[in-house]
Amino acid sequence: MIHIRIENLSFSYEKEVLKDISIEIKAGQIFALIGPVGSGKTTLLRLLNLLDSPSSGKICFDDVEISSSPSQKLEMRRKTSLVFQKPVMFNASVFDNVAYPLKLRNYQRRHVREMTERVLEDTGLIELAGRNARALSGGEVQRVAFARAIVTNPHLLLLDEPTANCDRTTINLIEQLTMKLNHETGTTIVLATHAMDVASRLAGTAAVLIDGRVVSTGSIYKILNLTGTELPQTAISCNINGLTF
Amino acid sequence: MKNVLQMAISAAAVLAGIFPLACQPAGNRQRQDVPERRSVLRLATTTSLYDAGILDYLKVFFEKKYPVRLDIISCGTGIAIEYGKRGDVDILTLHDLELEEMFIKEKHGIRRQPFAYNYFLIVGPPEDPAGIKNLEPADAFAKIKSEAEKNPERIKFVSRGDNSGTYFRERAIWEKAGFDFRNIQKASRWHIETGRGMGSTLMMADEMLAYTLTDRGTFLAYKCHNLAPLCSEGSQLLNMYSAIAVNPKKHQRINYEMAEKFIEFLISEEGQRLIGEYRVSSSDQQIFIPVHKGTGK
Amino acid sequence: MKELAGAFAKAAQLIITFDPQVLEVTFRTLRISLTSTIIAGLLCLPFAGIISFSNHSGKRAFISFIQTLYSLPTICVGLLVFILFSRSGPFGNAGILFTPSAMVIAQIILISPILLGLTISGLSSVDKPVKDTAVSLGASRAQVIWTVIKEARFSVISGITMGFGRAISEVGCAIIVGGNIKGFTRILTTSIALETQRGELELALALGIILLTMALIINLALSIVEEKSR
Repeated sequence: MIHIRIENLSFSYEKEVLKDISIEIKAGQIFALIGPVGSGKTTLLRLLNLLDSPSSGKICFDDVEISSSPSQKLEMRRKTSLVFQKPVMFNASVFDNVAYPLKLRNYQRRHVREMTERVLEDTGLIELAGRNARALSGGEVQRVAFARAIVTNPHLLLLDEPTANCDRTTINLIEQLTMKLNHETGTTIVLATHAMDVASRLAGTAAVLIDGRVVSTGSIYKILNLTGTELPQTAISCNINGLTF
Repeated sequence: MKNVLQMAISAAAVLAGIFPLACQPAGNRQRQDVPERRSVLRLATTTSLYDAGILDYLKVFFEKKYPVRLDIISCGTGIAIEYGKRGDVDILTLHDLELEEMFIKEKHGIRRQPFAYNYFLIVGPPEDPAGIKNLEPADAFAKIKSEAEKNPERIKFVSRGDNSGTYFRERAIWEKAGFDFRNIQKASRWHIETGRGMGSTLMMADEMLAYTLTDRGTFLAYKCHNLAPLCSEGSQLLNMYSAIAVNPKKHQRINYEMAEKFIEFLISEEGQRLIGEYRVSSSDQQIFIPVHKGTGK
Repeated sequence: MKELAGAFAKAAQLIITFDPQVLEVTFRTLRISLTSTIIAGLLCLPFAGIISFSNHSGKRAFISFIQTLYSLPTICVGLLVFILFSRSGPFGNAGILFTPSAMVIAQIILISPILLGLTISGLSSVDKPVKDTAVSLGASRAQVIWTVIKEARFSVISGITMGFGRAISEVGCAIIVGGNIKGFTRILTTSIALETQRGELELALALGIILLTMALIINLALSIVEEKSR
């Protein structure tokens, strides 16, 4: 349920990664960031998660600008979850991994147990609860990372290529849960992907990022019409502004 | 499981914190107003006196008489004197006249009280290849030197080399015999310095079938297979043990009162009798001779 | 060689008969070394976390300095503590020289470089993505440090074990600051030194065997705890 406004955001790390980005994401939207590898999607998500600081420009959540105050950043991060492209599992059980964010926020033991178990059931992980998370397959890791991200009922969910390299079942599961989360709790969701089909299934609005710049924004249909494609089931290459990806 | 770990560590920390306090005697200095609380008397002694075991023996009797805990630190003469100068101990027991007199002269100590004596021994292999049996100590040393120079593989002398009372005595004997001790030290083919305590030095002499200078107490306490006493008389071998109380004016919190009481105890009739009666388990020979024979004054 | 066989026999005898002097000395050894390891751990772990996460320009130099201190001879640490707490020294009024407290302090100084160095090393080998994940999931700075320490827990436990090993096996410190006082500051290692000096080789070796046995039990316990915490 968080409204995001990004104004003239730039970020450089040895070279310019993001150039003068301005985007508005309304509360409760599922917003897709579409672009090829290296276009700056991951960097933008990291900036939204306040992991890095922009070189210039600003980010406002619910019309409050994010300053450099660590406590303000921590407070905002606790309302946000980011699922990395290659999620990292802690060297602990699946249960402990998923319960981790709750423990950070000092939830009571009983609540931790209840909420974690519920999420594990929703993500089909309850059987694996006791296993060491580092011993899981790619698809299982993705599910654990997703479960870990949603267990705190975040106000803002950031997903970086959430279903890349996953099997069909996992892809379906994660997509369904994403939509359920958005419908039931109004969580704002920002989804970075290079796959048009994923974007089209999930998102209502999108922005296209190429080489660190926003080249177009708008409803998903408008964006896809720009590319001139139907709604495909698998990712195929598309053409935007003369660039193919 | 994580909680078990956390609990275990907390418990261990609490225990570890409590134990040292719980198990340390509640000894505190200068608390004579509360009779059950013992004051602490710290004594630094030369290792040869300690290793004979007599101090631990006397400690039992002394602690029965007075509300005190006698802490005995056994170390080399050099270090003991250093402790005394720094005020880290209250009383010293040593056996080096020169150093003791200097200690008193420099006002680090109040009073030097001899309380027991015995004789150093020159020990060596029973066959006595250098032929020193029953010679005067200086002559014996001279003979060892001349024989060893001729045959350094067969005849050797092992030395403490550690600034102990025994070491200083060895040096004194060499000098009485007319030699510059530094030259003796340089003759490392047959004069071997261990830098160790009396027991280790005896052990080495035992192994090498060499000659060495030792105090009677350690020699009796240590079971040497291959060494026999060869020279045991002569004023050069007199080994006098004295106690010195550290000067309370030079440092804070010196337990001078108890130090004096301990010195009184050593030369009392009871103390002198105990010293004369003391034996080590492996022998029934007398090790220490009290300074006041018969009636102690 | 026969001394070794005799030593094992003597060690067994001392243990089975619960020889009171050996028991007293063993418990004191454990108490002092466990106390110093725990306190050093509580001090060094957070400090290592902070250093590990800082980007201060002096960080490299500091770590090199710490690693140099691994070679600190125990006698030197003993001398340092002695000079500090001697009656003629700056902290003489504390009156702790020749007491177990001084031995604990000396051991803490001795093993802190090891605990610091190995923990920093272990923490550094935890990837940045782990740290990022923790931050991203809402960890405060202190929570991030704690999470990384837990991820590196095997290195950390190894470091603690090694620190404890050094504490329990050292002689130089204990003799100088403790004085090897019978019934008060005498521990296993100083007893071994004393008995060796006296020529009681079998007894010295037997005490050494007891020391090793104790260290073995503690290390086994630590590795069980480590297993369970997986």
